[in-house]
Amino acid sequence: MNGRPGSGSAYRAAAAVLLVSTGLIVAGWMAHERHDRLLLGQALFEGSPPQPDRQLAGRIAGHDRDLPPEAARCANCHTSTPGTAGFGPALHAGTLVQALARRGGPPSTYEEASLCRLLREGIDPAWVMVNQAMPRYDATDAQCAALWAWLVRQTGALASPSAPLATLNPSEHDALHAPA
Amino acid sequence: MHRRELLKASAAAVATAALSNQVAQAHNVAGAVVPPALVPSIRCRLHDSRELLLHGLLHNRTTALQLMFTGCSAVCPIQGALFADVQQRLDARPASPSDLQLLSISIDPLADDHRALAGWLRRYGAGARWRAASPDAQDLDRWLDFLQGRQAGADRHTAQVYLFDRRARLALRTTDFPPAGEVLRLLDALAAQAM
Repeated sequence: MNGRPGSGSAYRAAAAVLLVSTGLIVAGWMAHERHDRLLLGQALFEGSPPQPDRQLAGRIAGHDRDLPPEAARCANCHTSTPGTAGFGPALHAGTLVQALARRGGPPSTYEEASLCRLLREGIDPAWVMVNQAMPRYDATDAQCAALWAWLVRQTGALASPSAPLATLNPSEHDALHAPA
Repeated sequence: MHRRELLKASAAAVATAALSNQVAQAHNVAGAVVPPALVPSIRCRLHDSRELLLHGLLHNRTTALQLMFTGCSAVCPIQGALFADVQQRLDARPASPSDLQLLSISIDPLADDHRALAGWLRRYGAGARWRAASPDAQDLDRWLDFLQGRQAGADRHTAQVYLFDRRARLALRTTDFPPAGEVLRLLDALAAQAM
């Protein structure tokens, strides 16, 4: 084969460098996307500062107008910190990913799709309808994904899906089992 | 044998009635108040600092009333938004009777002085027909008993709307979070009854 001595190995080295560089760029881009998604999820949950592209439009079931953003914020009723509870259940990996009995129904776990259905239709993974006080949201797929990503990264002591049926602290238990 | 069957049937009937009562009590008391119940003598302070009896606030007006407290971050913002929506619909009509009013009554009189109430009304853009008041602390239990407006949980009160006629009588309790259009329809219907 004609060619300069060592040209084959040079090409291979260049290809390896190109491959690694591409991999680093893609990894960096994915990390950036993940970070953006988490920021969006946090903004959607907290609802502040109010920004039109970072708000969940929601209304009470049966009503014909959306609530103002400040009345529909997740953070008004929910906490995302393990060990705390508000008017509604705490939302984090420990309460979402674990098999828990909710609202008198059988044990169930959340995943992104079932969280999205709850936001839009008010039906939990065990097919139990949530409290009427919880708005029904016009959430896009991207908003659902962002909210899910942010909520489940709030790791608690019970973050492993393979853990046995969870035991909640009293405040979390009371909020989760409050009458609908 | 006949007597034994009769006793078994009676026991079953009693048990069923008790269960029904428990189920009914698991939900808010809602519906028409028959006969309408005159508001008790309860002193309150308005958002503009005036003190007067609740009867004076209600008399000669048809009123939609809600329970709230300014420190509530869960359901009260939704209730505020609901009354803001009702007010908007009233104001959008060519001629709404001036004696239709909205009243937000605090269940936390120790914290909700007239300034806190005024701030709460401002937050929701309340106009002249929407007022707020706090009852005297010593009258709070009697007031909640009259309305049957207590609820277990962080917010401690129902999200019902209570409709009072022009004679200051409680005529109807809605279910929780009634749509604004429905509150308006009920106000109109109650006002029309008085004519």
